[in-house]
Amino acid sequence: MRLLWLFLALALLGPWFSEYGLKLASEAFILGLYAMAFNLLFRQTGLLSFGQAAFFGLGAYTMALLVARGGWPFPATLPLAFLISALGALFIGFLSIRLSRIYFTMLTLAFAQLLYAVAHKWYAFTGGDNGITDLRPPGIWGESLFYYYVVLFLFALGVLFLWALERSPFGYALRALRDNRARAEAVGINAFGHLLLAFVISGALSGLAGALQGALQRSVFPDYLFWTRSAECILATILGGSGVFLGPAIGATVFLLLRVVVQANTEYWPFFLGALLLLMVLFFPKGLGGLALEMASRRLKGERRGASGS
Amino acid sequence: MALLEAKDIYRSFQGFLALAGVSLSVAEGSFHALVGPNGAGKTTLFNVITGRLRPDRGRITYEGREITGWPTFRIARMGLAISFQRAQPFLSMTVLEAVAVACLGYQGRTFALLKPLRDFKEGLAQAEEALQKVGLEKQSSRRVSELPLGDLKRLDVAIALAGRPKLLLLDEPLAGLSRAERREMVAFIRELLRKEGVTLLFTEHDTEAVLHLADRITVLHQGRVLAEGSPEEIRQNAEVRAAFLGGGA
Amino acid sequence: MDLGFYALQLLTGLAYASTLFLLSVGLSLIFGAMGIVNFAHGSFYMLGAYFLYAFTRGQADGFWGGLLLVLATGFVIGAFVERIFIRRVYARPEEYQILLTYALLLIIEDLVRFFFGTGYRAFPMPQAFAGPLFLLGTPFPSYYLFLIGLAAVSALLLGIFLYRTRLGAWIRAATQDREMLEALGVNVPLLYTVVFGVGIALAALGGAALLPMQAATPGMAVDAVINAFIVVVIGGLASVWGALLGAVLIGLVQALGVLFLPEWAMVFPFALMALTLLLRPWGLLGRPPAVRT
Repeated sequence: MRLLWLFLALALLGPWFSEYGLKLASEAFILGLYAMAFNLLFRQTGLLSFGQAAFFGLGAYTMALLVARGGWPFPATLPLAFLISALGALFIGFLSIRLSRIYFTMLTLAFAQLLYAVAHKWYAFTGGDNGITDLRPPGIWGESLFYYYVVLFLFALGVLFLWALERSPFGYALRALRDNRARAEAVGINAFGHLLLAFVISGALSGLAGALQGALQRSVFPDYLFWTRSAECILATILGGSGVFLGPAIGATVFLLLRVVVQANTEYWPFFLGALLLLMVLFFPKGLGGLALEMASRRLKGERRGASGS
Repeated sequence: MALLEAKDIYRSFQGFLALAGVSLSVAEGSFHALVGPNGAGKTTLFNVITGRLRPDRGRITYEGREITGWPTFRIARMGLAISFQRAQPFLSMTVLEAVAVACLGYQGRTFALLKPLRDFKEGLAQAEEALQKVGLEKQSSRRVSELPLGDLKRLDVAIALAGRPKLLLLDEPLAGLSRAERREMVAFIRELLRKEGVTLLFTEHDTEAVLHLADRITVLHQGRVLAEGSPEEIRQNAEVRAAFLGGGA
Repeated sequence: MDLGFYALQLLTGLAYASTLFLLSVGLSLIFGAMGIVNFAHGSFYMLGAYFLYAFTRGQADGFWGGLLLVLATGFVIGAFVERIFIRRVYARPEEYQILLTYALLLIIEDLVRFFFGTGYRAFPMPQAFAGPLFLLGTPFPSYYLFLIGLAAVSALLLGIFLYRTRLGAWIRAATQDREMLEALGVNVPLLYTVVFGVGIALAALGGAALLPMQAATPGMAVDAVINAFIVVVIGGLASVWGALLGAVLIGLVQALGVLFLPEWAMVFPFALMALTLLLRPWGLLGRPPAVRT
């Protein structure tokens, strides 16, 4: 299985990274997981969430609050971050999925910004814009190489889960709903239930990614919930190609490298984000992954034609 | 005994009365046609029966149970299947996958998250069986998007049959087909459904085909039932003739 | 707390509702006629405020001319954006249309930061509204009356435009059946340009009109577009009068919220929206979908 080889290669790569490289790679896995979670909705159901940061931030704050205020050990907070984000997605999804896809996009953005505003203003609980800092995970969890493996392991688990999901009856039912909703409902598929569950899964995985990111940065701020954070997973997905399974993860890597380069030179990173998104949407809607697949298939066809011609 | 019964159904759209007190009774085992000019309310009635539209007034019973206002997916799981006029089933899948996911849908088993679809042997066997019934078993690994229109319609019927329904609704099964294809399709439907013991309720504009296929006909006109009877009775009904000649059907 | 005090809150709410209406009616109009949800709508609202500031160099005596100039610039920019960007994605799935306007949101926010900085840009109260007026003995800013009047006149003119002119009839027809319009020989692409221009011009006007009361910041675009979403979800997407009703409701809820539970004030509009979604998901004046989806 090719995915397992990929994970193995990434695991072997670990010791060769510098400290900075380990951090960047860990962040790439985290953003990759976050974007793959976003794409579960976008690719399989056509639902475009502009509020994915709500769950990323919920997961991060759950972890941070439990560690800083509750004194929990970091690893024990991860299942809870997963769960709380899932509950948040259940609530927001219940209100947002009932109408059209456009409503869904509008409402996810609105609810995420509401959470941002709450985190920003509720000083007593979240620390407001001072955030929650000093989240150094204890012992070996705080070491970059070990953390790299933790993140890689959870990333691999998430990707394998999404991979299985795509092939399961549930995944096919989502595709059926996307292809032709009326037809799908007429064969007994419960549209609302399926879309809601997909949204909850997507939210839970985003929350896991948020918790991992918070521990990597050792701090959580309200900007974990901010709308530009939602833009990150969208851009990674569009960059890598939403139609390719690993596209969002590839996009996440390219995205982070770009950010390192751009942010070293200018503070106007969102402008680049926007301009890049604009270009991708207008000219390369299939993303880098889609482009690569297209070139590969063209070459394949060319070879075949060449073979039959000779 | 009536398998499906619609009683005094009303439904309006922004002041336009699409159904104005329609009653309809489909006997078990019959081939029941719903005819009438465009805008007579046939499609609206289908949408009301399958739960896509809620009637303003009236009741629908199926197998003696009231199903008015039920969501579409629950009605489908009761064994009331439909094949659409514009058949565009699941274009991103292969033929077999499209029927298999329908099979599991009718059984309410699409919430399985981890086991791959191709390991649901029972569902796949049922899907293959449904494809055999419509003569598409050789196409099972082709992509749905590659099928010609006639095969798409057959596939849509296979998807409808995958749930082993008692009642099948067909919305203009002959639309878009050539004369020869129509004749073939009529024979195909009749033979298939007789063999399966499926009751049929269908709409169709092709009068010849209707008289050929149906054993009971209901004529709708401006949201009301104009006449009901055997093909012979309908053919001789003066009112129907007047409405159709005047209404330009 | 006397009666005058409550009357003042009511007036504050209506003044806020006035800018909300200008902001959201264009969103509703554009969605209704073109089927596009403009996520950059709040950005044009923000641009309206910054443009007024730039045109007048922050001087109150240029207010009236500046306001007219903002309206005209808003129309031109809207038409330009429709021609250059939006037009390319009509044939695409709706998620790509949304992504495009989302990209504009990101770009415009940073452009504003680049040209105007991240700080507040405040505008002095125009001379005509310098003194307060009195309502039941309580003083209130006379500018409130201007805002309410501006929204009322805009609603009236928009109503006349949509219901009494041929162009307006076409725009209304576009919300019902676009194919039919094309069959009638209407120049639909031009119509779209006009609709987008008008919608953006109104948003820009709203942003500019609020400037003397509330300073402009680059962050206001997202808040504005979310407020507009809340308004149209409550009133009904694609309904001009729904936008009016939604704006008034949110304006009043906001004013009352600040009065009674200031810490929770920002949550109230969301709560009202959630309630609408549960009870009447297509909005108070919206149309329920013909076929359940």
